Amino acid sequence: MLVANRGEIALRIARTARALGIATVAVYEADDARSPHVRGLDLALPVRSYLDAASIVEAARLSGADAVHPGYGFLAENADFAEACESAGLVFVGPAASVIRAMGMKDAAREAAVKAGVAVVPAYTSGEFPVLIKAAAGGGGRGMRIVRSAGELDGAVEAARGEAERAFGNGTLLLERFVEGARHIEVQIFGDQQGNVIHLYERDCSVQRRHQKVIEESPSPAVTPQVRERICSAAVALGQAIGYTNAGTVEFLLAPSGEFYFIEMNTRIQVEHPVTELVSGLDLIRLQIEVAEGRSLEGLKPAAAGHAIEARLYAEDPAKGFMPSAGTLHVWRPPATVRVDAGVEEGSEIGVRYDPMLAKFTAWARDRESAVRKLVHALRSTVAAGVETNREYLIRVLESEDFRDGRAHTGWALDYGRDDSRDELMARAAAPHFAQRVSQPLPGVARYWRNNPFQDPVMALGIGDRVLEIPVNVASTHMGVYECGPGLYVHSIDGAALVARVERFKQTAVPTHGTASSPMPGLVLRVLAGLGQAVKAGDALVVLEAMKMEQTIKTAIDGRVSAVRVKPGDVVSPGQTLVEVDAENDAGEGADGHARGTKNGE
Amino acid sequence: MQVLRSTVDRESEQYRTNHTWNSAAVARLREELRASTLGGGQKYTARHKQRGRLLPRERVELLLDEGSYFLEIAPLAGNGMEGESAGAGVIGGIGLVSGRECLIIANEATLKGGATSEAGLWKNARLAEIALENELPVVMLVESAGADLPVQSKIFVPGGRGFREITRRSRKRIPTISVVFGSSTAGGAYLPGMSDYVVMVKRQAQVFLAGPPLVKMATGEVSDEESLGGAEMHSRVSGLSDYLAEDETDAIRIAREIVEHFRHGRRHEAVAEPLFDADELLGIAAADLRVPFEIRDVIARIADASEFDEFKREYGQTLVTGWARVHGFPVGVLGNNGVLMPESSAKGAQFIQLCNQQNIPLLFLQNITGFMVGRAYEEAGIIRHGAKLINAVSNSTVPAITVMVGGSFGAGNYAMCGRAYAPRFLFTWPNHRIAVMGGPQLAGVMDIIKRDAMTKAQVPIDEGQLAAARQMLEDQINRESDCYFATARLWDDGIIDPRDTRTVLGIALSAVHNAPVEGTMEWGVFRH
Repeated sequence: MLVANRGEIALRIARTARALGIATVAVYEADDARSPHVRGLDLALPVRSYLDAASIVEAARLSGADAVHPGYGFLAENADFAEACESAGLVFVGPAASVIRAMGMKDAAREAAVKAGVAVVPAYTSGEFPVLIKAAAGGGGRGMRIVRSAGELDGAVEAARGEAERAFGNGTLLLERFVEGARHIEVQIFGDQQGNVIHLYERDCSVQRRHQKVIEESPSPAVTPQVRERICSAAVALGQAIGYTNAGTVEFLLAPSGEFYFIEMNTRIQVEHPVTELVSGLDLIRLQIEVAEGRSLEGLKPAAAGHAIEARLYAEDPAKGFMPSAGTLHVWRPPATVRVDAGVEEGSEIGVRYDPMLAKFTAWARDRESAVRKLVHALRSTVAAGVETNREYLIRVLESEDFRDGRAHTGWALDYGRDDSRDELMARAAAPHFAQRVSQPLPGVARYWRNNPFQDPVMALGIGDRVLEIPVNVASTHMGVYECGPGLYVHSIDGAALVARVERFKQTAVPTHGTASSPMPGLVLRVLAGLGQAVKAGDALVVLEAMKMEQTIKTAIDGRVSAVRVKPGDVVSPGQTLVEVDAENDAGEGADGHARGTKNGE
Repeated sequence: MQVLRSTVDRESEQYRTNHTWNSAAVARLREELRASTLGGGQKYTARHKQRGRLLPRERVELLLDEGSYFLEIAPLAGNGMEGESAGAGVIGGIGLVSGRECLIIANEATLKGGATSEAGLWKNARLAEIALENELPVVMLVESAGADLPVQSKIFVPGGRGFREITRRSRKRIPTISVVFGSSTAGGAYLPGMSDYVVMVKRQAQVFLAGPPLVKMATGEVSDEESLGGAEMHSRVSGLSDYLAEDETDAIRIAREIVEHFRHGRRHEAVAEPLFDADELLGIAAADLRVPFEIRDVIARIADASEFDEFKREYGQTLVTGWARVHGFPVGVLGNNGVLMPESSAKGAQFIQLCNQQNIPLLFLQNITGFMVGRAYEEAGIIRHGAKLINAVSNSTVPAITVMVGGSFGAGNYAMCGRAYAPRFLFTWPNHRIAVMGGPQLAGVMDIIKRDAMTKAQVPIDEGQLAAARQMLEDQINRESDCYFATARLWDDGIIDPRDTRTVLGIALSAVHNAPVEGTMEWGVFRH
């Protein structure tokens, strides 16, 4: 079986396949050859791209595979790919191409639901706000916008259309009534080739950030037995109506009133499937393979036991609008107390090309409170250094009263700011380690030795934007300190931080030259600056897109564009020079040193 | 290499007594040193900081490499002397700047505006000597009101030498950088004036031969300080300043960059620590200098791996000689284990010649009451043999470092490379005492002479008066033999905690290796 995916899901699929005695084939893009999945499967073949169906089918042929598992993302919901597999004689572990195609367009799916008697979110009727705009071909929250007044509508539609065209090559939009305070409830269903459709209960994925799930659990704290019965039945009804086979997820909005509305169907295995596995005791990948092999689900009536909850650990900075964070994962110590599905290992390069999810942690316990407690502990003990992560954010969400009381709906957001109360403690833990890096002045002579001490030697250490003066020769606190590139990662169950040395001397040279550089990894959307063009401080030079956000890069100095280093479509890394600007006049007099390329756009 | 064994008995009465006494002495040393770092005191340091300036010691700290040592020279110069302050208004020492061992000199600007006192002059002269002999680049952090005018008679004439030293160093390819943080006027203007590199801090440096009032008096010209001698004028117009610094930190950064261009070849090898605890030095060093102690026990706590290859162990045993390494640097050690005898003197002279032949620096561990006296020793040629040792010490050209680990009395001070014999560095322990002879001995000698004179003059002897005079003299000599009295007068480069001896020696040896270590085979005529 070829696994047309990468990361944790490729490894996850291989784990079950191996248990079933099925050899697995990995595929990889040229610059992804060092990823763990390439070594984790039985065989690995290069492909032009994870999105190149022909290349993947060719790899399957070369390897002798007779089945393809698409995982999630990439080509998992691409009907053409499913078709290509079928016509190459490969078993596609998923629903039929026609079903994928039908459910892939939100408008078509909506119609199918209506036909199956499943309630859908009422469409936008002129003048009724708030309205939710989404891309018909979209997924994962891309292009979604909430509009609360008529004045904003036109602009939002235009922006959403642009984004949808760029992201999905299809600018069709759906405008629906926005349901306030709704929860995201989804039902896992399974269909076999004999026409049976079963459900494996619901998952509650209401905790999201930027329309993307971060915490998922089952059962939902908001679903009563009556609602569960109705919502699961509705999901099964839809599956039956469209002749669904294999694993699928029917997503609903659950209004505070108890009414629920179909939103879309995912025709693949979900990221959050471990939640269902832990409450049902089933291996969903195994079930996928067995159903693809022709197994009947007749008589399978899984029971759900206890409570499972999953958290997604992302390489992103919650304090900066969840901006993705790239870099080397210098330290990776996942927890041992919960289920870990990870696609990274120590030393992994976390880039912008792929999803920034590092791992999923899933805890199970008899009740919700115990499961949450286990998950929090697991997150607290996780050491992930080298990139920013949402670890603390997840802990804070899980510990928030709203979440604990089951009040977190899709519009709920944690008022999050980095907790800096332990920064000094963490910097103190790092200081002696940094001092050890200072070269010894003379063999056998202690660093900072004085025969006439004046004051304790201090070291300027930075955590985020903060600079702390820390005495070098103080006893360390009991925290884990890990080498992390030029910095040190300090970790304790109470918090963690990347601590950096702050140089003692700043260059104060007067700049007459400004470079606009990329503040983060991203894709160049537009280049607004032309060579030789006169610009004023604050003028936009380049528009970047990074993880669904547009970032405008501006010049900080007046002058003329002297070099344009990028073009639309380029993938840029943090700090990469985009555009250079030379000051119009000689800035030798009076320029005060702030004429640098800045990192605007937030 | 032979490994020394310790003869120390930590349970002995003597060890305990010494340890208690020396611990108290070290505690006092710390207090005295602490006071020396306070500059002009709370009021003036606060005022200085209010003006947005770094304290002189902060400037030094920032100039030094991170983690570098700083061996401050004569930190207690002027201590207890009239009109002087501990440190004599100058901060000077050896540390690393951009990886290069440098001599750093900073004016204590919060003390009388950084004006130079008499002891300050001595200290500056000593620092200049260290820079010249050891070929250490000099970084001067200048902010000084110039000469302390009320005592100008003590300063003016000899003070000129400081400027001469700068250019004489320059001729020997030893560069001097002046970083001007504030006032450096009149004669003081020649500090930057003579330097190889000058950095001036914007809106702070003021360098002119005469300030606005004096200019007005002299020529009637009206001027202001900034246009007359500010950093911008000197950087853009006069050319006296080579680098214009935005602020103090920037100035120090620039100084560090300048030093980066200087040649150097520092070594970095692992070294083995001594086998014995340095703290035991406090139990070894005699609180009562009449009590002898085993000098090998000191060597065993200073030398790498406590290894010591002894030379002529069985001959002239009151002087211990042999080879060791300290922080990897080879040294020839001469240490006293009693008074100097004819044999030990001759042995010392021979050993110094051997070290010169092999270019090995010398380490003198001085605890000496003098040469042996008495008819038998005079007859045995104690003077002749002592002269041999003094001849060798005088003409030796390898660097010598002297540590006074106890007493330093009589000609023993000379033979064991006292200050007058120009060791590159000379440090003392807090139990150290120094004089031509001990207080009781000196008073006793004077008493005998007085009695003889009285007897000759047939004057009745007044025992009470004699006893009082004897006591007064003894007290005076005791006071003037004290290590604090000595260090205030630049008789040494500082009192150190005995436990720091190895570190201090390591830095000093590192410093001396900035200049070529070359022994001589040329000596004065030895009296054989």
